Amino acid sequence: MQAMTRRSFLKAGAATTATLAITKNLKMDFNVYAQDAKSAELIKIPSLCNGCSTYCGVWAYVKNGRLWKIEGNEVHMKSRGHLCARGHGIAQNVYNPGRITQPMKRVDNKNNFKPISWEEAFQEIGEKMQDIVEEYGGDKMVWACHGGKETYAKQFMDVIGSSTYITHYTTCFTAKTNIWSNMAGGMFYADFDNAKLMLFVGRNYAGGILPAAMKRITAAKEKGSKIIVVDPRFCELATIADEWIPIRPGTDLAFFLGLAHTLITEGLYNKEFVEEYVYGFDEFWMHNKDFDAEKAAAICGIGADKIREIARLLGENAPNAFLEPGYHGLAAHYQNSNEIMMMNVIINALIGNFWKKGGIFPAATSSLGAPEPTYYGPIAPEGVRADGAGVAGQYPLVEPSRGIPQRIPDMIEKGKARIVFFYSYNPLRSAPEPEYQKKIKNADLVVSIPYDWNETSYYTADYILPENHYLERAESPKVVNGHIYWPAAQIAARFKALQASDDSLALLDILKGITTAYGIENLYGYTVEEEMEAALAPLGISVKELQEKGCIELRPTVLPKEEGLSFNTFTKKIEFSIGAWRKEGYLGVPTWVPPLVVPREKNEFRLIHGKQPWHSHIMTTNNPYLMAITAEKNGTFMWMNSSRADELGIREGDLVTITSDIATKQINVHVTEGLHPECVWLPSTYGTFSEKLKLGYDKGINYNDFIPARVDEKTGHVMGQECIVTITKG
Amino acid sequence: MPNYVMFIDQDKCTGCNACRIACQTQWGLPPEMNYNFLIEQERGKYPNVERLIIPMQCQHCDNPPCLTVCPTGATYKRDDGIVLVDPKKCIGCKYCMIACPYNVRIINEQGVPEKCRFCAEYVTNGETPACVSTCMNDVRVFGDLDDPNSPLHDLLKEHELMQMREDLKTRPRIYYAQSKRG
Amino acid sequence: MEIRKYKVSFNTIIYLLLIAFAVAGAINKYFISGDHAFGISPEVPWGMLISGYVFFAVAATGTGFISSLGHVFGIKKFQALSKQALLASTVLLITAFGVLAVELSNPFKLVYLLITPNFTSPIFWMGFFYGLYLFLLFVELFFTIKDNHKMITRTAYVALAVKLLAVTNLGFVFSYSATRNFWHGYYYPIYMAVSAVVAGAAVLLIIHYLTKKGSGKFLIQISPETELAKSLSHILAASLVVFALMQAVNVGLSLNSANLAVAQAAKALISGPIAMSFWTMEVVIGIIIPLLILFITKFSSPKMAFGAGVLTMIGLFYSRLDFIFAGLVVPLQTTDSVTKSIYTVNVYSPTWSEWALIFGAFGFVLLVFDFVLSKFSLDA
Repeated sequence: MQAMTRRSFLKAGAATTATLAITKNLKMDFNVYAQDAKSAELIKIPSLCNGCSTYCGVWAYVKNGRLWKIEGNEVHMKSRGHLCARGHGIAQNVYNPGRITQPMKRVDNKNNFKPISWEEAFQEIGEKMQDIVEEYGGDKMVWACHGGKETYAKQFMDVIGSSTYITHYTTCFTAKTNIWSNMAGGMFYADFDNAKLMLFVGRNYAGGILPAAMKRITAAKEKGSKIIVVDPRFCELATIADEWIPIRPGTDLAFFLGLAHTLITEGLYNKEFVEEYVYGFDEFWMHNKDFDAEKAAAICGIGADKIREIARLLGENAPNAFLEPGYHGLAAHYQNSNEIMMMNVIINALIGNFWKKGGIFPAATSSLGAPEPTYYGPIAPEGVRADGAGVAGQYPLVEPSRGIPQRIPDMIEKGKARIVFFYSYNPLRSAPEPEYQKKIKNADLVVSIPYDWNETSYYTADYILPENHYLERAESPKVVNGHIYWPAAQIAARFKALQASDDSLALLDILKGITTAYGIENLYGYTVEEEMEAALAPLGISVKELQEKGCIELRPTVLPKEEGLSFNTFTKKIEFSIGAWRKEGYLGVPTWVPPLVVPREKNEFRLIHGKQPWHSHIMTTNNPYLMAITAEKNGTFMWMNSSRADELGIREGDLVTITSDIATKQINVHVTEGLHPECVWLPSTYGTFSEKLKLGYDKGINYNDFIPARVDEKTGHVMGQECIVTITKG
Repeated sequence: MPNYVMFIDQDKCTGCNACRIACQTQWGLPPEMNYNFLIEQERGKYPNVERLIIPMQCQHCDNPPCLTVCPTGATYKRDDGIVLVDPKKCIGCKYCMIACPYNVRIINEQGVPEKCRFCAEYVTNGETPACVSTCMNDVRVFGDLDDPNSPLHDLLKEHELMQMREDLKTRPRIYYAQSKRG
Repeated sequence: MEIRKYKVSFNTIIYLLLIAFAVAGAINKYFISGDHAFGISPEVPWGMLISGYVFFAVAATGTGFISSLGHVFGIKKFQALSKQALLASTVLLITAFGVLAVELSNPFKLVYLLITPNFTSPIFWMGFFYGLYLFLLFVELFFTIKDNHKMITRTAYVALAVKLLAVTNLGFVFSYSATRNFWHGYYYPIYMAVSAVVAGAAVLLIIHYLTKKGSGKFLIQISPETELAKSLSHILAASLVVFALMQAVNVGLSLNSANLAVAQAAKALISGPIAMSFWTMEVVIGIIIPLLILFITKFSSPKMAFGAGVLTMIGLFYSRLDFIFAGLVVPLQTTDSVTKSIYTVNVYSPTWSEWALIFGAFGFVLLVFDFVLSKFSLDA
């Protein structure tokens, strides 16, 4: 490590003191630091990256109590020794000036806060909660979070009788998980290593990055695997693809129906597999036998010959081929997203690639132990979900475990939600229609547990309880699996690499404080170290061993198999027709559903979005390193096809006004050949509007500004790309 | 004495910029200062599009023009071929930046035009440069050309190679795979 | 030698203010903003201060050239100004080094130029010869004060060779690097030498006129030498014509160069981001108007020749700025037609700190002249 200079030292110091409160440990003398850094021992601590939902295994290198760098864990199946830019950036967020350094209490409606002590914060929140629960019942509490990151809140909610645990999933990918669970009994993941043909539709592994996936995809390509990318945008994955096929956005369903039709009519599909493992094939075929490649071509803009060619490639290479199950790209974007996801299951089933080398596999799993319960007090009866997820007459088909986060202001207005907790979640920026989301502040009590001054905390929270940086805490081990095929599950955990540099706490300690103040004794009667031991005990792994290795791989349990396949559905088969849907009066099989809206005028475009490879959705825009890349690359620009730009007289870098039904904003344009003419593309990252996040504030715009907070009636997603905008120069 | 070279397969790069920031943290650089970067260029006409991405950094020339022009010998070449700057001797005349054909030097806070160091102190200890190890697509491969077991040998043989500005006879230690894109 | 008392005047205040401005710029560079104080970047690493250094150093050399007409070539009328020329050379060269010192990030490490010199570096040789030149100037000054004409003449012979080497090596600093196509080749050493003559004639015309004014502060009376002014005017006009022709040929050849980078740089000069500065400052103000003045006055008005000299020096200052930026304005091509940025030209605009240092440098030159000439008699 190069010696730190005085100026960069001062910068780091100024950065941390720029926030309201005084930092304790960072205010050190430069000479003392420089001297210590020379002689200090280098410590290597394992953790799990917090830059996106992939949670790559990382090694944190710490010198003299200060983070030097992170590297990818070589065993961890998501990182395999590598990391992406946002991973490196998020680690350096320990020293980010946007951090909240101690608990805050709102003092007025103008977003002014005053620092308070943790004891005061816990006491006041506990008392307010008691009053509200006493008057209106415990089911009026909502816990909204990113999802998948914590396991503590449900215990608290169980005690007070709330069932409204909401994740961000409907704003992201809920159609996928819902449909796969209904049709195939769970998620399946692609085996890149052995595939001869990889078809990616609306999935950009080089933008929404999973390092090990890219490592394996590029390695497979070197061995001769063919990569086809279907995407309205020439995405980063298209850079290395054998073929990029731009598709008219919103019509992927037609493309899939055309593929299926060709597979079936040309006899390319795996009849034995379908006979043995598919339920509802005839029903599917009955409704779709007229939807041929020509019909698909007329809708999606990909030539009928090309559709047939891809279908044949799938058939020829089956079962060592897959249509990648996708992620955010299509699974929450269109009126027909549900059907798109159904067709994804169906096409993979038609080529019979389940449990086949180069096909798709379920995740390997393992179970961890848990500490003995420490609370034996009364438990309130479970309340009704405030968001209506899984509730008859409301959103019966939405998985209650996911919830519906985009309509929290409605729940508040109707009195179904009075206490709202946000844990590491920022719907004001990550859910549609921020002006609507701002009404969250009307709840009786809003508590946000963020890391930085995010919009939700700044505009709506009554109390902000800062969580520490992920490198500043240990966490109970997690089973590592999913996203991509790997035969064995792994176990990994976060270990504490750094002392908290300010007055922030881990979630466990925050919840201990709140529940105790609320009057629940000993709900979390264990330390995180005890939790770790209890979790690992059934596996015969010691905490020390896990800390030394960072990630431990268990025995392989998911391997290719030829027969005896069983799916976790009612019929034990892949169900082309969803029973739950039929029960609700819907058709069980997918058929063509047009997109909700279509651009028609010369200056109308569909607004689509996606991840830039060096940013996560919204949460990295205050990072100086990542924003430096944005500055160099003009990363905030909106992409527009060159022929459309020509028509409107727009040139590279020109400022344009973009208007939807609910918002008008201005942004510069990047004119490109790599985008379908019918749409404009925005990186999903920018548009920070919390004034306290100075680096990201007012840089760029966000697609959520332009879309209303809608709920798909089946899987609850937001239809994030059903949005027409008009664009005028200037 | 090792003979360090780097192989870059530019067609494998998808532009994630991890190399840039991994290097920045490795060397404790401020956000606005970077030793490597990606040159990106879009080619073709919709829908036949290609994106050229070229990872750039100090080429560690065997005949470094920056070393030739450095008046005080602050820029020097180690026996293993790595070109470094001795900040103690650097007067900050920036002549190296004028002479370098690759635009890869950047002035640091001490006024020294610094650049990629091939992670010199680390590779001597057997470690891999940060830009190499963090890359998910294995775009870069670093090694000792004189080591018969290095995977570099096969890679350099398998690929059609090119070097930056061969016309200037700088003899870079970075070999690029010739791009197969337009 | 007669020693008078220096009186602080309004002009003195102006000079001091200019110097104070420069000090502010230097403070900004060394203690506040670092290299961000200047408009330079990785793409354009050299800017106004390098051009300022070239301007002052070449002016010093040129002044030395012309005055050597007196000592070395024995042309009597030029000896009338020899002390002023010596002083001008010394002050201009010290100023040049001063500007360069602020441009350098770490001037105190210049000692490594002696401890670990790199003999392949043109900057080393340029520094060596200019250092030697400065030393010889001090030797000349010493013998001038001692009034040792024999030694003055001997030193002047050596100095002539040294300043020729210095100024061509300065050109060589630019033309050496094959990386910068626009500078590369034989042109810039010659450009430096010829423009040195232009600058020398202009500087001496300025000094000649000011010294003639006599009564006041700046200076002291010397015998009216309209003949000298005429000769200087002739030299200025002739060298300007040669200089203009050379520049025209160079720009013309560059424009039609098969090397795209060279052609683009020339284009930037005549119709791109540098065009404004090139045409108005360098060509019109720096060449055409001075030539017109000289021809219209038939080389016989010291006052108008003084004006021509001032305009020439302004033009030369921009000439330095223009050719340096032109050498850097085209982004480096690392592979076929791929550049780091999508924009076709690099951007550079000087900051207030850079302007401050240049103005301060002028202030310093004027102050020293004012001071020395009003304290001592430098009559021939």
